[in-house]
Amino acid sequence: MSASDAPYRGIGYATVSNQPGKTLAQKQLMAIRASRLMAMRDLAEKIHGLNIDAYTSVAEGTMLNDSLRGGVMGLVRGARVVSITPTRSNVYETILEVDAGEVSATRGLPRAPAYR
Amino acid sequence: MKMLRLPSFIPVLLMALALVACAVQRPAEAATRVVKAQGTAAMVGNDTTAARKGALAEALYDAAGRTNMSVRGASHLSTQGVATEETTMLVQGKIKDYQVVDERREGNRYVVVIEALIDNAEESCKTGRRFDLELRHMRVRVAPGLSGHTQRMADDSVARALETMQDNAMFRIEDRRSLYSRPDQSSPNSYMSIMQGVAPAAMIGGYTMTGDMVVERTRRDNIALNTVSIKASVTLRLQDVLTGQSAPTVQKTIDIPVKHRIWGTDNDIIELESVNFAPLWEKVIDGLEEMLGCQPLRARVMEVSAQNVRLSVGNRNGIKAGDYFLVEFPGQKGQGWQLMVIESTGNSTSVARMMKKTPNVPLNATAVLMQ
Repeated sequence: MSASDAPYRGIGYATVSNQPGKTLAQKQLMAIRASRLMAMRDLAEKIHGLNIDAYTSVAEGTMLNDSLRGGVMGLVRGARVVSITPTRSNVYETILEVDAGEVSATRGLPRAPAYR
Repeated sequence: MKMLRLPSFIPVLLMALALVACAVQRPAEAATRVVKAQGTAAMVGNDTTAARKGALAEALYDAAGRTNMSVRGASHLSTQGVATEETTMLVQGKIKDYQVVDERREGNRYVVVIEALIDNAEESCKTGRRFDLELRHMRVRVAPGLSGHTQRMADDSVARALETMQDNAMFRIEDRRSLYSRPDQSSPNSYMSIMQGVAPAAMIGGYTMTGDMVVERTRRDNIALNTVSIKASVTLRLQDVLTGQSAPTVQKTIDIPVKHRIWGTDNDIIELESVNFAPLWEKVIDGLEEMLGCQPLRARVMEVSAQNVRLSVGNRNGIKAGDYFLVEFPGQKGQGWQLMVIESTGNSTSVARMMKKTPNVPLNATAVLMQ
């Protein structure tokens, strides 16, 4: 498999204790879902790139403010779950993968619809 | 000012016509695939029913997410050390049918595994396979007054285009014009086939094709020039052999300026001595490729024995071992489809194995190639 055919891989982490839920099982499931969402975001960044917006203000030679914004928006198609594992007692790790062919098809599509 | 008032039924009539046009132009069907998805839900007490429902909903969500998932993320970091992060995800997928293949309790969780039949978006439905096209009739009509040379060029262009199209990556054309004397003829002329030694075997998959090529002379005048052009158009009508459904018509036209005359003079500026129809046929081939690109490749089940079936497509259609075919049984919830994997291929047929024990695939069923 050449480098260009290698699948895209996204990894996401989420803690269990700060998730909403009445029981530990519910919190664990929410952590799995959150880590999956983070992995999806990681994938989206790799596929579509990260839009960086930085703002720095300096007055009289002194830096006043430094602000950095990062944003990503795009479609992810055909993502499959490689693994969902509790890495430590309180953290879940999710790994997702998308085939390179699927990514090249997705890139040709129109932008993702704006939504709230 | 007096307003022109249309009768009240006109907008309704126009809407009805638009709806009919949409229905006619609708592509046969988008490519379909089966995905395996898993859902998990927490057990509260011993309420298995609620946990099962939750797990099933999760599994369906997972399956739908395989089609289209829009992700939007925003992060903000400043010198004050404030970092905010927000990620949202919108799942858009169309599930045609699903069935639960496994469900179990794992400690304090309930797990449901499903197989779901999902539609891909049309943009990604290209299968990279070759369609069988059977050319049954091609009529070339040249307007009176055009030279015999133009007629010959038009006839030759059809023959040359067919040669080019036989070597196309997306379809293969079988020229059977000699077996069909009329465009609407449903079965071939046996006597012609006997004379030519060609067996009039009916095509099992793919499309039948009939067409018209029309060549006429047009004249355009402007303030300085009178221009005489040859206008040539090709219309191809395709019909699915298995379903009888009409595919969208391919129609292309070119306008070739032949001579100009400056207004008020008798002198012609000849631009072309002979007409070249090759650019027209290139447009037709592009149109065919574009139209067929999103049509599903279908096959007929020719034989069934135990868990194996013989399908009417093979190497010449680009089918290879490991390809999947789907047979749908609409209305049978949970038993709505059978999936078959190709195990060996011949030139025009292939053998596939059914992947599920039920439902059984009947003889002559239509199978659709999956992505």
